[in-house]
Amino acid sequence: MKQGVGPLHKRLRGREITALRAVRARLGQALGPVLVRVVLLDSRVLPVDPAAAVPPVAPPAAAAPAPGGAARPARAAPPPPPPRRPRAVELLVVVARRDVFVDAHVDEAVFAVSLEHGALVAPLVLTEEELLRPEFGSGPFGTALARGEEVAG
Amino acid sequence: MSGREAARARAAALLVAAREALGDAELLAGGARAGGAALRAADAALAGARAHLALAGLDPGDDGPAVALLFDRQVVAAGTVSHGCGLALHRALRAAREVRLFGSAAVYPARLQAVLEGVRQLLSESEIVLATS
Repeated sequence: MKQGVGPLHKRLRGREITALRAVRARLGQALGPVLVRVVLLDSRVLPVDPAAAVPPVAPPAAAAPAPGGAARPARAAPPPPPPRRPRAVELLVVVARRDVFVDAHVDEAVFAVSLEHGALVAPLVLTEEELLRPEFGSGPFGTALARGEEVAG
Repeated sequence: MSGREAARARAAALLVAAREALGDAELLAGGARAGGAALRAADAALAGARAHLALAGLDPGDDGPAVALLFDRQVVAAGTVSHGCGLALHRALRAAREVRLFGSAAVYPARLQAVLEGVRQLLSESEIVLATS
């Protein structure tokens, strides 16, 4: 597992980065010292219409009237870039212990971030102890874990 | 059959499949087969969520994360069903993913009960909403 920003982080853009940070922050706040670390495992493009997954953007505020009373002509804003296809961001959440409250906090964090940012974070949860088992060091999961990048808190 | 009628028929078929999957999940949970129960519960949640998306012409198939993202945005955020339904879908999909990767031990009894309760809520609300839409 690598520390810091590597190729996996660099594949993410815009709301995926925001969502990743938001999930990390929410988990840190909800779990406190129970959260050991968060590892970015992978990301993949989702087969959905980009426009259907984007949260609605608030309309710009109306131009304030000039001191003379007449409204200032609004400057035309440049059109926003077309939305990209969203990606599912796959994470491993490593915890010191696991119970129904820990699992509930993880699911709530992911759901809240999906609603707020229109980005899908798909976590897996393991305890530190489970992570030491040999079966998690091999196979596709072991490979993904070895390539994974720690998400800074 | 018009496009709208076809979409309604597809949504109804997905809801039937969802109920069947939930029935299987409950049987498996009663027989202490937590892994299988979690997998079928996720099938039920996925089919229930897809029923809404099929009606809107947005069903992305059985790709769980794609369904979850669209369901959150198009159905939950629009207020069509409660937030509990969106949360239930995420909970069920993660439990199934962990069973596939890590085995049945990932779903201890209290977690499995939470998954099943959420899926029951998702399907009950979906049946009401889709029957009146």
